[in-house]
Amino acid sequence: VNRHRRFREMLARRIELTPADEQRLRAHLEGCPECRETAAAYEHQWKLLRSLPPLETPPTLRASVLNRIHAAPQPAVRWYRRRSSLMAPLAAAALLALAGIAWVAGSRVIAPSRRIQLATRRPPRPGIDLPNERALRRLLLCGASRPSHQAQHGSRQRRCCFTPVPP
Amino acid sequence: MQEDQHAAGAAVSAENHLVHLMDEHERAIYNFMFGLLRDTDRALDCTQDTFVRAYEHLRKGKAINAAWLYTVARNRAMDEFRRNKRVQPDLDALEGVPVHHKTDESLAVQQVLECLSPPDREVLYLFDVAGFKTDEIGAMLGVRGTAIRQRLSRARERFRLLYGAEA
Repeated sequence: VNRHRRFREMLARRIELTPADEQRLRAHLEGCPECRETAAAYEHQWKLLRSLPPLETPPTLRASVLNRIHAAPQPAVRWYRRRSSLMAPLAAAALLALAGIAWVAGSRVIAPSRRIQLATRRPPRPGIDLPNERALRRLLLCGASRPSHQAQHGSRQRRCCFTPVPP
Repeated sequence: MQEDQHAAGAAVSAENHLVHLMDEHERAIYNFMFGLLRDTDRALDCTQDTFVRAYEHLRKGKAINAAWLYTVARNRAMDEFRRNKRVQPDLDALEGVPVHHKTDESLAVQQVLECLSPPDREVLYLFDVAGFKTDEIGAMLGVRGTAIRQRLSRARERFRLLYGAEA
């Protein structure tokens, strides 16, 4: 019975069978008069349904569809699309303003690590870390490159000029 | 402004596409709806709704094919079944069939179809008249192809019994 049922399922959709299935079906039909009868009935049924005269569509169908389409409110353009032309320059201006604010704030704000470094830094010692004012004046006035200076202080001019002068 | 022009262009394009679709499928969809509902007014309503939905779909730039139309139409018919638990068959609809086609045979087929359940009519129409394959019908109805093949086989057998009784 199951075997017949399987072939009846195949008969019901015979037009879409693969060549291999069609061959198997034919082999079965040769030896099965009951399925042959079913095959003939299904084929007749398929022809009947295929040849069934279709109903004419009412002439008002297309006009009704088009009327409904034209009468329907157009889908609203979303606000972000409608204002896209205004939004783009606004967004660019806002970005520029933010960048400017960030730059100004960044130049004024000292990073915490830099703040610690500044707070713990030792003040420069005159004459040791930096030449004192008098030594600088002597350096400027002595004219270390002149031959008269070399004659007075010898060739070790640098030492001479940077020697701290007692106040 | 540009969005408005773009929307108007899309609407015209969608309408042209819709007219093309209706040229090709409106008769088949209307007959499918009548095949399921057996009522010309409801078939007309469902066909209209199907094409209005098709237009909305086209407006969004989405593609539509025959399977999509049949699926939407079928779902609309199911809504109609749910809304009106029992849809009375409209025997006057046969008046729409051209006189030279209205043979005893086609009347007998129509009477047999009246007696079949909507799922049986549906699968027979989609396979025999609309020409879809069982796997395609399964995809449309959201069930496996094997289930459609079983349903088709049962529908064929019921049709055969009823047609034999009618004959």
